[in-house]
Amino acid sequence: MNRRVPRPGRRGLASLAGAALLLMPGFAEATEAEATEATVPDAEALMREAHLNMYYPGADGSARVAMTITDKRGKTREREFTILRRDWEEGGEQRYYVYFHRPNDVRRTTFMAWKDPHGDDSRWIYVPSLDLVKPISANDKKSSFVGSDFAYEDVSGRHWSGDEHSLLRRETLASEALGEREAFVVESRPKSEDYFARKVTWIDAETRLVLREEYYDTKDRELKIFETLAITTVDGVVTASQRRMTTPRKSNETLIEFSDIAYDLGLGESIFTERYLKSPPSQYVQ
Amino acid sequence: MKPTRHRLGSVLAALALGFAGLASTGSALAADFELHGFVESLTSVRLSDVSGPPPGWSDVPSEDLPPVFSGERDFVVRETRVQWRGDVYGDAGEAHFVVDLLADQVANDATVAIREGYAKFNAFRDHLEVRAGRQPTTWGTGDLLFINDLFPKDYVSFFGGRDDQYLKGPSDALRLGVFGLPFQVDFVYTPQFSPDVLPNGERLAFWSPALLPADAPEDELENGEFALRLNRYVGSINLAAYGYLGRWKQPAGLVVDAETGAPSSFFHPKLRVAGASARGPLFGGVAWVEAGYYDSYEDEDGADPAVPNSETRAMAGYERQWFSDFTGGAQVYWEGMREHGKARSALDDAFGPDAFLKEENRTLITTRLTQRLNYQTVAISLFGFFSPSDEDGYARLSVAYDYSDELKLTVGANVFFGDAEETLFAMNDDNDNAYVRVRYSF
Repeated sequence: MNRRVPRPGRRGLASLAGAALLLMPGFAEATEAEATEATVPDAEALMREAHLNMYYPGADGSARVAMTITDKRGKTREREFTILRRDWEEGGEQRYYVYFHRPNDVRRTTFMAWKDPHGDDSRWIYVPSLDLVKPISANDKKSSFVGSDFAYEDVSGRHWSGDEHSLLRRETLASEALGEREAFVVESRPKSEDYFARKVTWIDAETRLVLREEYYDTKDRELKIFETLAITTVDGVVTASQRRMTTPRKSNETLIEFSDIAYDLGLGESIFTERYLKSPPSQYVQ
Repeated sequence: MKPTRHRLGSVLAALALGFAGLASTGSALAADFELHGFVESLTSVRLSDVSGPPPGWSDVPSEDLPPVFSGERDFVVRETRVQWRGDVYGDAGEAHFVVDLLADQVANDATVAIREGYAKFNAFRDHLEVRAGRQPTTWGTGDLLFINDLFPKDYVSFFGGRDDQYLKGPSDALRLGVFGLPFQVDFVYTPQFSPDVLPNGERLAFWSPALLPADAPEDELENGEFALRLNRYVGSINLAAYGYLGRWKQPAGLVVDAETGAPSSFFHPKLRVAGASARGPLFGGVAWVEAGYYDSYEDEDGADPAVPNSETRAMAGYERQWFSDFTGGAQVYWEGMREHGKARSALDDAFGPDAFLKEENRTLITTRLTQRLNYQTVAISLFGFFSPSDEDGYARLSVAYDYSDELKLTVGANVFFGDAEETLFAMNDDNDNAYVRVRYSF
């Protein structure tokens, strides 16, 4: 089950040297995806690919994340954390480790999630001043992550298999941040009742990243809007390095900026255990 | 744990020198040295009058009574605290310290308390983690209930409105973590016994059959504490076994004068504990069970009136998020005395039928409700304890507001109820308080 070798980036195949890589399953996936691009893309395959590009790049990864939450009065709050991720299965189980640098009253707090797309996640938080490891219940994926507009599910990704997808059209999406980009527009409806009734996703035709996502409730009111504001290529992996989530009803928005992005670091499995929750691995988080 | 007290001036000077020293050591250290902290003001006002000293204290002259019993304490806590926290990350290891500078307007003094100060490093290809020095340690599964966690607690802070972190007193300990085995091993050796901090009449009233001093065990090698935990995860479920060798954390034993038969002081009888716990996901929430056997082996047959009985303690709990940003949980807890009948008759013989003995089966129910609002900037919290066997209880209420990333305002109350004088929460009935806490973190 555990993949111990780095998987080639989906678009970054050329950057990874070595003929041996061609024998790996990742290669077959990538060529398949390129083949479908030329023909009529299947909505579910598109969503799957975008999901893997957004949430499963590389076999593992780390980044420093700056999060700015702006409320309706323009008041801002900031969070800064280091996030480590390791995939156990492409599109399946993965584990996250988060170390908070700011705000100062939660500095050194750590958070760990074992994501299981087909069941409940397991989450833990560690409070250093009490030396307390506390599991937190994880049944509600739409709870806000650290008081931001991003829900837990938006941080770790909503699995494509939870929704029915249909391709609406292909169009040019114009945005201030990224200019004009060709995009596939996919509409998704949850298979079982959820907090949203439908969502519309714009997937970049070139990078197959999610450019924009709009969530609607049963009365077709906008719940929240996700946008990619910057795209960076790191170690041959295209990455949505700036993301924003807006909640129009509350005039609240959260901007996430990734820096110090790295992939395929060979993060050990043990990093994602209670030991390192209590004893942050300083080589990665400092 | 008594905070280390020094002359404030000299310690401040030493600290300043220390910081200057760290700053001047240059790049090797400066890049990996972080200094943060907070300034906090706390005022906790007493809500009820203290009805007077316990009845058994009638022969205590009024000038010897602790201040709360002579009505000299309208405030439970009134203090300004500056906490400095430093973290040093080097190639070979880490050092962490927390120093609290406290201007205490109730005790009318200024103190420096080293809350944390330990070095940490790994050895044997990361199979061993060593933490040496003053540090908090917590384990076990309960939410504000502790069975196998016998590390020191500060109940004066807990009842008086201080931040949750002050419930855990630090231990001066050597802590070893062993990894790479089928289970993880944690071992904590505390050379000097660290008792719980309990109400003593300085800030909070308490009940006791007589006003007697509590003797700390001699600072000798044999009076150290050993705590051990073995634990492992099976999927997301954590299984743990625990052992403890030390003493009752509360001075539950009575020193009786051999000639007169009169009690002269309290002491901490020897104790060993073995227990186990399991915690894991259940029905979309988290569930836990924990049990422990408290072997009070200074009184093996349970018939010594001056030493507490052996006990079995057990609990089960569940918590889940019921709605977005609303979490609710509950626990049931039981402690059963091994030889209640023998203890009762021994007590009758020694001190008469009115001498207090706790129930054979003490039961407790707790509930925690937390609602977060406005992008989690507001947290409304209620933690309630209720004991069906003792017919007493304790409610902790608080509303915390993050005005900004730096500034946090908390208002809260600690309310106790119960008719008896001797049971845990009822004896605190006169200690009801409401508090305001303002903290600026930097």
